[in-house]
Amino acid sequence: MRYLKHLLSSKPTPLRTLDIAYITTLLPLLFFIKLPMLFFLLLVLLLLLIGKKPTAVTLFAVAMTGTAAIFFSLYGSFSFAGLSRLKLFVELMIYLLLIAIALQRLTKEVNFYLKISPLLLLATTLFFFYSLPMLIYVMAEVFILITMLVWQVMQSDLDRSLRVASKLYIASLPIVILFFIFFPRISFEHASYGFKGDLVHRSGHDGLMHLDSNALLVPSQRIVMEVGFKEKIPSADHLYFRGSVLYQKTDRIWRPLNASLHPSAPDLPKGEMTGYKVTLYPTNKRWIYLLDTPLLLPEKARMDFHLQSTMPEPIKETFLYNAGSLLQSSYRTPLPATLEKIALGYDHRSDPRTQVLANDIRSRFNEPHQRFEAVRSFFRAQQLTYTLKPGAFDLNNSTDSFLFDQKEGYCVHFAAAFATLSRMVGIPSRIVTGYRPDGSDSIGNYLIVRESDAHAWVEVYLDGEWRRVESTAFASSIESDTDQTGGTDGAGGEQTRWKQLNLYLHYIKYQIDTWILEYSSLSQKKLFSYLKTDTLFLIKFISSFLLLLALLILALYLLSQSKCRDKIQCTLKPLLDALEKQGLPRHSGESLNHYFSRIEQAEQIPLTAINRLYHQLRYQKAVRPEILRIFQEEVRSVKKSLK
Amino acid sequence: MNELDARFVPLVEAVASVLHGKEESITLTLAAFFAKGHLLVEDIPGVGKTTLAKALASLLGLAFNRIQFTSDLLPSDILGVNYFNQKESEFVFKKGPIFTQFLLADEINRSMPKTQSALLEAMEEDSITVDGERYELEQPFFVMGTQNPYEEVGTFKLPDSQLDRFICAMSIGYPARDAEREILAQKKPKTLSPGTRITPEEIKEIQDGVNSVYLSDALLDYLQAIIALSRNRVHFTHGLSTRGALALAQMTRSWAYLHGRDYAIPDDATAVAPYVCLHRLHFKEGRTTLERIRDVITSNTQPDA
Repeated sequence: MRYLKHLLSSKPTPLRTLDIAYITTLLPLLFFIKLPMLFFLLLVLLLLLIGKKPTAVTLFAVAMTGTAAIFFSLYGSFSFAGLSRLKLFVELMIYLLLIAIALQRLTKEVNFYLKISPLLLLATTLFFFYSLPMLIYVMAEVFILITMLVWQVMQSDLDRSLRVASKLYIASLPIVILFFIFFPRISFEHASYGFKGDLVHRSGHDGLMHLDSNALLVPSQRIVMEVGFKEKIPSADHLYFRGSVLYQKTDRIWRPLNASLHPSAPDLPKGEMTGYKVTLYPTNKRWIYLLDTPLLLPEKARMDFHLQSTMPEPIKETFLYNAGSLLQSSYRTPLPATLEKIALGYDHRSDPRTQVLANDIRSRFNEPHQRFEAVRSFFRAQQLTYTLKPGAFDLNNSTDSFLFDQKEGYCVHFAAAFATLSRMVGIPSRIVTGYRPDGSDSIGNYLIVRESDAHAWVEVYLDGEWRRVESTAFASSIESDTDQTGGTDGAGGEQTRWKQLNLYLHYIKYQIDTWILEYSSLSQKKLFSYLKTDTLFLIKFISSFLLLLALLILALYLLSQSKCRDKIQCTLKPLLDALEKQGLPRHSGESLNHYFSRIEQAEQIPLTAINRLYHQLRYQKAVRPEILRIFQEEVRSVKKSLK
Repeated sequence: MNELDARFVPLVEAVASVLHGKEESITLTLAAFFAKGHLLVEDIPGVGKTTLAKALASLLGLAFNRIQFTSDLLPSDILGVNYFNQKESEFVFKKGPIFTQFLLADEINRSMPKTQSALLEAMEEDSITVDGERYELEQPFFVMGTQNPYEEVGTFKLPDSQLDRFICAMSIGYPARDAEREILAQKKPKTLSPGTRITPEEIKEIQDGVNSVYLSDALLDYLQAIIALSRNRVHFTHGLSTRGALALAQMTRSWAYLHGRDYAIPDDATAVAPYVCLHRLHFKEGRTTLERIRDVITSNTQPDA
């Protein structure tokens, strides 16, 4: 602590300010750099603490150790061809930079490279982090670097440097914002400037349905798409975003039909269409997701007989589209014989217990309706539990295992079992996968669909129409593994207010995430398209920028107001301002004594007392404390009389 | 605050009765005297230097002497000589005209440098040494040196280092129109009513008082601003020496004391600064005058900032 105090109180030396800059810029990188490199840094720190001026041999040894550290850090992941991948490239750059800095710092000579390297470190930091705390840290980091720079250049006390640095910081903000808007972040996923990106799998939905442990990718909170409705968001029982339709089960995986089998869409009834605008993030798949039952498709998109909508090319960039749907849970269409055969198919060799059950139902009921009801009541009677962490299934007899042994599972298991049993009792059925948000993740007409909203449900063919069956609805209990903070009804207004606040905070975080942390060239495109199409948004955008500008100017003004260090001057200043306003300015270089005497003679304003008191306060040796009070009163009364 | 302290008013008025309209010069002379400095008057003959000197000497009750410097004046003519007294058969020191309290050294630039330096050394040390024997000068000791700035022929210009020993310099100048009319109108020159106005004890007290005038931090800031201005090589060839800076501080104190304060204010410094700088600084271009120096100071420094 004393060291720190000493560090900050004394005049800055170049090495000291540089050290502070290094500590600030290295801190976030410590989370990222690999262990061998950390050891290398530790070694350098030790050498620095020992403090001797290193010999050429020491420097050579340090350089060798650094090279070794790089080798071990990148061991296995390095290849020269791989350098076109941005992440590897940046990583290598950081390591090289660290070694260069270490060597320079050990020699204790301040040179240009050493001065510029904190900025380079800061720049590389920007590649790695996508979190709110890091955003705040980086902003603080930039401020610290500016302060250090100013401190070094001004060679004055820290307090004044801080003021100047804050002014610089504030003045630069509008430019920074403009730069930020026009030059978006380069992320490793969507690298540009000739670098290859590390494309990550953004969506949990791959058009198939796995029954084994691959069934569900980690249900992350990543956003799959954002949906803006023209009017209010439909109720949750209509929010079924249709993805792929699965007919066949092979190798424990439910698969869609071959695309060429039924390429043309069925004739769909017209009705009141709900319109919405979707921002779909890259999935690297061709599916697009539309609400049941889709009517209006984006350009180039195609819909097949099963109402699966696809694009001709996999979606690799953020895709904005308008769509319209008829909100209904069933649609009428003929069922061709070939398709009916497929929709009734099941593996006769597996799930013997379910087959026995199905035979029992078939023998008891003849009507498809009755059979369907029987299946439903069976599901209800089984006391099934919905959980994201079910026990292990017998994968060869997964329906048996789910219905009779484990009796727990998630949407995939419910849907698979329901479809299988329905087929066994002679009702054509299929599985639909897609997204089903519960509608809670929304603000106004704006709905967010996340990976964790991925869902699978069943459609059965009854009375000449495909009807949606929410198979998870048969679960008798839900084992929640996310904290449901929803309060009980009796908790009163405070809890709802808290909930609202919470939602609001989430909303802010969401906006920061989308527009700052994950602001990429894709978001840029989106922003510009909004600006082009939405006049209201454009006005809002410009006016908020102007508002920000005004706030910054205000902040600058407040900062440049000289802090009142001198009570005497601060007391006098309003009076001097008032006199100046009356057209009695003080000449430059004029002493107050001269000024006051001049004004008093010319204008008959009684200033003698103020003049005397002021000079006593300012220039006399020991002044009685009450003089200041008298002075303040005198100034106040004269100022009042001026009005 | 800007008025002269009551005890000095009669003094200044009395001198002004024989030297019309020159109150500021009189006050400055008093300030230099109470600051225990010496005054340099750069002026043409016949504007009242001697009148001023004589009047002040008599009012302050000081022994007065006057030396007219000429090119053949020797140091011994000022300091005095050891001569052999045949009656007593020993060397006796005959004191020169410097053994006085108020010395008017007229046209010092007319004498040889050797003679000049004899005087200036005496001014600095307040004592003289003749043939290895040291003689203290009586206190208070005040020299008013004059030189004619316009005559160049047959003069030995005083080097800056010598001039530095005068605490400040001034020129009396021609009287103002009204004052001159009054002078012209009177039949015979007025004489000063005899009698001292200030006793030696009072002089001692005043000089001590001047030394204890308080210079606050704010004022020192202003003084340093003036000193820095003189040294920044924008206006002047070279800046104030440390002795010059000390002279500025001492004159500021003295001026403050004359105006009845035991603390100095920026106006004191602004008032005396041109006089302190007049013989010490040289403008890079053009003549060095009081008005120019005053302009430079007021337009480049800000008191009470």
